[in-house]
Amino acid sequence: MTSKDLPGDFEQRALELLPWYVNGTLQGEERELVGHQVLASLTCRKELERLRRLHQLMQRDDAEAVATDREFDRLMARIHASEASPQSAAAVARRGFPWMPYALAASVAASASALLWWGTLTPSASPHTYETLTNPAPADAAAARLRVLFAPGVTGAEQRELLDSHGLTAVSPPAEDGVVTLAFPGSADRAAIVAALKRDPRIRLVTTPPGSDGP
Amino acid sequence: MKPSSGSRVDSLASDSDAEAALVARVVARDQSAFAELYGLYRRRLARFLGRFLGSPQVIDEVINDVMFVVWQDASRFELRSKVSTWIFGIAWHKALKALDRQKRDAPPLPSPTEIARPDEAASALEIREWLSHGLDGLSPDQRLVVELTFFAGCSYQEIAQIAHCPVNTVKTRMFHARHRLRDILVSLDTVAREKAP
Repeated sequence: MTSKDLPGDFEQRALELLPWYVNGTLQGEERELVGHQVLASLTCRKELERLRRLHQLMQRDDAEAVATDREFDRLMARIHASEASPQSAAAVARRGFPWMPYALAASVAASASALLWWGTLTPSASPHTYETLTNPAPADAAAARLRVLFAPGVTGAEQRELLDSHGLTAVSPPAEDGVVTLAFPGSADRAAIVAALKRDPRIRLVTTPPGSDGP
Repeated sequence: MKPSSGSRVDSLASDSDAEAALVARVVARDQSAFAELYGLYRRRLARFLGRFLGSPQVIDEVINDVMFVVWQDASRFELRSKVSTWIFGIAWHKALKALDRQKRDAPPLPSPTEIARPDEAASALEIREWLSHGLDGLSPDQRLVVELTFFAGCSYQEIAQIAHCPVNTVKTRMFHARHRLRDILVSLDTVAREKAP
């Protein structure tokens, strides 16, 4: 407030600041100005009442159903998968941990694996024959494979993080029912990967297709 | 006139300190602190994002993305702003991306003028629906300012940080939002008077 301000200017400034007077975040001189104008001006008082009503309406509980536990489990699974992947280790290392060189080396390996994963999703880059659940496995299915169905709401980014964390590679696009066929990494402990996937809340179903030499 | 003792402001400050302490523990990879922070924000984010994003599934995905960033970037949080300002800023950024994705498929919303004004017998639910349609008529920028002020309880300075704009822009957006909501606000006034004994 300055001596040059006219009474109308005070009212205009108070009207402008009223929303934050209502939500209790206005402080100091501005709070004093609005408080004074609310006492002095009928226009300010009317507007204050309206905004208070708006505030009350917007604060009321929506009584929404929040599946907090399930969603938190999903988030933690995503975080664990991300941190289990060497990419994340590199990210942590960048923040200054002493094992940074090892993590960076691992990050390179993980990036290569991620590129392979994306490569397999690109038809022109993929040498694999697509298969469906109803068709027999193609003749080149000598490698161990498994099929997974992701839980509803799991995003593409989460799926990629999860598969990367186990070194799994998609060998076909998702079937009509959402099932994705995956290949194990060469020297993996397949039983351990399947067990981990079965425990993961982001996965609804894990199966080993017939004809595969999976676990 | 002296400022009030500021109990609301004091309470906000202590909440803010407690949340900053939680973030410090999250930086140290304390999962119980993260769970607590998640519990504090899950509902607030669901309600905040619900004002902009229609699908509960999209809201869940965006909350997951927001809290994932909170975990990953906790060490980058600076105490210059409140934790809520930081988290709502991330949420707004993610919401804008989700809105872009939704834009093509979303059916047009009815304009506020198509919604009948609630009469004196209107229930609280009807009034809220009417208000909700009024809010739907605001631009996303105007709506953000209204939501952060009246729902999230942010100061105009915090809103400027979240929206990445000058404080005067926040005030201008609020001015235009109030202008667009004026009919609704006046009618709420009338309904309240008519319902008064």
